[in-house]
Amino acid sequence: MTEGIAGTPVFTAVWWVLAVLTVACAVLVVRLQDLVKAAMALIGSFLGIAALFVMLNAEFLAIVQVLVYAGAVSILLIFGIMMVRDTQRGSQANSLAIPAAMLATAMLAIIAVVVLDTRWDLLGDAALATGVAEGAEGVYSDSPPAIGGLLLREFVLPLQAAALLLTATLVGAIALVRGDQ
Amino acid sequence: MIGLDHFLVLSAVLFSIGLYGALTRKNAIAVLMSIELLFNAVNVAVVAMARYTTPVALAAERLETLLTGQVFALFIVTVAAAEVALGLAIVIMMYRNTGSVHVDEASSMRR
Repeated sequence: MTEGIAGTPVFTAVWWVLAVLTVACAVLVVRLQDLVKAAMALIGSFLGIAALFVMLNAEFLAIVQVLVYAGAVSILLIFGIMMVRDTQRGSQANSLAIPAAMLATAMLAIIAVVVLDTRWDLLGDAALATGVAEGAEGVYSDSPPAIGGLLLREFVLPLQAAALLLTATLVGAIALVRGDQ
Repeated sequence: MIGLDHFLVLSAVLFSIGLYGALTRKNAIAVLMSIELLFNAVNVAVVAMARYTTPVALAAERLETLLTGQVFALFIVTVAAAEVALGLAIVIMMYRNTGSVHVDEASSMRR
């Protein structure tokens, strides 16, 4: 789908706008005192990441991101905020702010140096990177059946494990909050 | 020209912001939100890797294997959803028992 788009200035401009918006929302999530506003910024960040998935030819994943994260997880978090609201104190930072900022910056610097220093083009096919590989566009533009096939063939055991995990989580969450009755 | 580098550095920036939030926030729900940011940052890196560096030898026989990274990201989304549900259950229990959701005051399991 994007073989004609991926290298254009429009693609670059859209990418930078999305990246700045996503990072700005993420900063608001960790800085805002009002948790409801922080949750709104979190939704913005999730939507920006969903748009980035579309730019990576992962449209199905973008839809899952909007449904599960921007829909379910954020509503769950907002319910949680409303149930346990600690109105007197808000959510101030603890005494670790400066060491944590240093640790995060150091980690970012290390990852950035490693990423920019690696010749990624040696790993894969140069044709794939520009999206012109034979038949690749067909797979990307019609991905839900292919993903379903992968889930039920190669990844059927992880799929069952995920189902077991979700069941155990559901039972565990109910058992935890049910209280003594 | 946007390449793999851009996506990976963006993922690292999001991960660092989430890490900062997870370490500094006092409210347990704010910590959970920062952890969600961490999961999302990792997902961006996984999908970008799958998009840009899938080896031809893997993809030549069955083109669906190009989507393996997306399936991986789907499993991460599943685990993250389970994690936030269980995390909120623990936070609500903590609030019920101590009247506070500040992680600094969660010291009842300290010896």
